[in-house]
Amino acid sequence: MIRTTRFWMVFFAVLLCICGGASWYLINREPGSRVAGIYQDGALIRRINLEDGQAFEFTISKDGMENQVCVDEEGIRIIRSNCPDQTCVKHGNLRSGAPIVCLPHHIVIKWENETDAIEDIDAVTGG
Amino acid sequence: MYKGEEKVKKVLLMLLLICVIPIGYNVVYALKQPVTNEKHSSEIFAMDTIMTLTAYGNRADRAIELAKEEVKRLDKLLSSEGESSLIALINSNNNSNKSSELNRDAAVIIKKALSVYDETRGAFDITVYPLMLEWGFISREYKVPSKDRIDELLKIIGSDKIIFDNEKKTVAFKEEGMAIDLGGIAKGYTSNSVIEIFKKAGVTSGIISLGGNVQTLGTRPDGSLWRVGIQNPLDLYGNLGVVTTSEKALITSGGYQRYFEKDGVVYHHILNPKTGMPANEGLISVTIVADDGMLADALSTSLFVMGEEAALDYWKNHNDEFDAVLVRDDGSIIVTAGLKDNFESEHDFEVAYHDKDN
Repeated sequence: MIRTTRFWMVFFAVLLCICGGASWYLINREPGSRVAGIYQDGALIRRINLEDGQAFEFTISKDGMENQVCVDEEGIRIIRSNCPDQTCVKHGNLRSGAPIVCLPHHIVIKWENETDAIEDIDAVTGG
Repeated sequence: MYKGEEKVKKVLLMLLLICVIPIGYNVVYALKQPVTNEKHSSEIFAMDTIMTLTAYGNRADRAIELAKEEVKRLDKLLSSEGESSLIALINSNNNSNKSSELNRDAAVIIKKALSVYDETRGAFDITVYPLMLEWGFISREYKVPSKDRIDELLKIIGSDKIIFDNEKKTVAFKEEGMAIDLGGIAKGYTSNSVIEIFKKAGVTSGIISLGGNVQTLGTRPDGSLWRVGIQNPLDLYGNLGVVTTSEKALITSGGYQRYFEKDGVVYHHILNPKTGMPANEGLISVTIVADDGMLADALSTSLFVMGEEAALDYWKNHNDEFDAVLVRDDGSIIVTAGLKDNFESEHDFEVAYHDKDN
C-alpha cells in the first residue's frame, strides 16, 4: 500500500514539474532566430536564416523587374533595383519594425518571427 | 483502513486537484482561443502603396478576402490612370461642360471632396491633378516646372470649376483640360469600406493600414485600446509618439516619403493648389484622428497646406469632428486637446486648447 502511495506521490510530483516547466517555457521562450521572408505580390518566395552566417547575393526577377538582394554578416538588403524611385535600395539593411518595400515591384522583405507588436504598437501612420 | 492511509488519500486528492484545475483551465482556454482571438493578416499592393489588413476571430479570414476584393475593385475604379478607371474616363472627357456619369462610390467621394474644398477654402482640391502630372509625381519622372507653366496650369485648377450633380450622379468641368485625382481622399473612402466589410462579416476587432492610413475597428481582442505609432518625420525608423484609440481613422500627410531633390532643394508631393508649388507653411507632418476615414484623409492634406495657425483655427471650429497631431519643421509637436490623454511621447509636446477649454 505504502509503495503504491509513494508511486502516486512521485507521479504527481513529476506531473507538476512538467506543467511548471512547460508554463515557464511558454512564458519565457525566445522569439526565435532571425529569419527574413521575401514576398512578391504577397506570396512568400524565399525564407533566409541570417544566423547561418553565409554571405551571398541573388536577384529577384519578374517581367523585367529586377531587385538584387545581398545577405551578409551585416544583414539583408536590396543593393540594386531597376525600379524608378530606388526607395528599397535607400532603405539599407532590414531593421526592426521597418520592412523593406519595393512598391513598383511589389516586393516586401520582413522579419518572419518578429513579435507582432514592436514596442507594443499595432500599426504606424505616416505620410 | 488505518489513520495514515486516510491522510495520504487526502494529500493525493489535493495533488490531483492542483494538477487538474490548471490543466482544465488551459484546455478550455486553448479550445476557446482560436474561435475568438485568432489573428489573420494579409498584405495587398494597391493604390500605389502596400496595405496590411488584420482582423481577429474565426470570421476574420473570410472578411479579409472580401475586403481585398473590394480594395482591388476600388483601386481600378478610382485610379487616375488605367483603362478600367472611371476617373481616367472622366478626365479624358474633359471638354468644358460635357458631363460624365458617376457610380455610387465616385459620387460619394466627389461630394465629400467638394465639401472639404469649401470648408477649407480650397486647401484641399482634387483638381490639382494637372499640376501633379507636370511635376512628375504621377510618373515618378520628376521635374521642376517653369513659373510660366505653373501659372498657365493654375487657370484650370479649382474645385469651384467642377459641376457636380448629386441627384443625377454626373460631373463636368467648366474649363477644358481640367482633371481630377482622388489620391488625397480615396484611401480614406477605401478604409471606411474595409471596416464596413469587417463589421458585416461579423468581425469585431481589426486594424488596417493602407500605406500608413490606419483605421481601427473595436478594440484589441483583449479589450485594450489599439496603439498606433506616428512616424517621426525626422527619423523614419522611429515614432514620435503613440495614439491609443478605438473605432478611429488615423491618417498622416507629410512630405518626407514622396519627394525629389533638385539642385539641393527638396520638392515634396503635397502641392498648394493656390501656388502650384509644394506646400511650405512650416509643418512637416499632420496626423488627423477622426471617426470618418475619408474626412481624416482629406483634412490631413488640408491642414498640411494651411500651416499651423490656420490649421488650429480650423480645428477650433470643427473640434467635434476630429483631433490632430501637428509637427513643425523644427520637430516640435502640437497635440489638440481631445488627444491629450491618448497621446504618449518621449518628446515634449504642446497641447492646443479650444477657447472654451481655457
